[in-house]
Amino acid sequence: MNISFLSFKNLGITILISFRTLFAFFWLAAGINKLNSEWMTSNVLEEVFLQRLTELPPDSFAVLYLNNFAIPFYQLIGWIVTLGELYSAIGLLIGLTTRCSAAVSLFILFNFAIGGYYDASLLPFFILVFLFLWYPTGHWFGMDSYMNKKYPDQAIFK
Amino acid sequence: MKKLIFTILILLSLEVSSQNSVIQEELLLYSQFGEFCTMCEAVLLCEEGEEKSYNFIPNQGNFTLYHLRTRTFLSQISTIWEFFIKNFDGYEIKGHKRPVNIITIDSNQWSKSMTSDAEISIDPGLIYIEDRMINRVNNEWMNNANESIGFCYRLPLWASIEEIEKKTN
Repeated sequence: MNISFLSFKNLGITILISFRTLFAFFWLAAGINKLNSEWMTSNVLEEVFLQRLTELPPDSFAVLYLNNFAIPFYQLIGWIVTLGELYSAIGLLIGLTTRCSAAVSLFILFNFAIGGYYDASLLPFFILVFLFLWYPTGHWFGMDSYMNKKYPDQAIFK
Repeated sequence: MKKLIFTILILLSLEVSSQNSVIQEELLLYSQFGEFCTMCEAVLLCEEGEEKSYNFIPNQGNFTLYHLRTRTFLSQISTIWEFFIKNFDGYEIKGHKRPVNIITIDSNQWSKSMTSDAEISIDPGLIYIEDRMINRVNNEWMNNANESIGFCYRLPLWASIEEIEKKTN
């Protein structure tokens, strides 16, 4: 009974860590792609948002969001999304500040969704991010395990 | 000398890739993420004969309307892989399928909307709907024998959808 429970638990941990690694690689590729596409230094994101405006129902919340927030602050958003994706990618990959990385991922995904880029492909990402927030995956496999022992009072390594 | 040849080859490959991106951006229904986006819709009017210009659904004439819908749930999920793989040169997904509503208008007589699948391809730049094809480069409407029979035009989305709903319901 105990052995099968442990096997089941280990399987679950392995699966979750595998998904965390895949998620991190996805975020890393997306972040590097944004760096190469000059999201932080050019007006490429403004063009992306302006194009999206023409594709959305005019009375939708996403149009309101784009007009009043995303387009005026496109450069700031370019920085936050690019650096956020890179930070989350590295954090999730090596298991350092894992829950904080997951929280940043959640923030970025949430903004994608309300900014008019929602579709079913976001659902698996949301589910995974909630799992990374809920479970101490950085303690199972990652630097958080070591850092938490060294700095037990630091919430960021919990 | 080897370095010079290598540099020239690199520059040529960069030039080719930049030319490709320019051409792709001119494709009908191309969006900023490299393909007609998941949740986007479009209305195309296709008419036999010479090329014209339309900004709305005309009251008279014989033509076909294609209302391309958002991708299905599973197809949307599959975009996770598409987004991931497009970060690597040469591994981009070259097309996808999505539902399309087809309405034929014959001398002001609107048919009922028929649902089918549209296959939107980047390479070659074609949209396949039933026994017709639309050339995404020059907007030609073609039959299944690859013969040009007319042209297609992208109409303003929301006004066209409203008009279609009024006429077909």
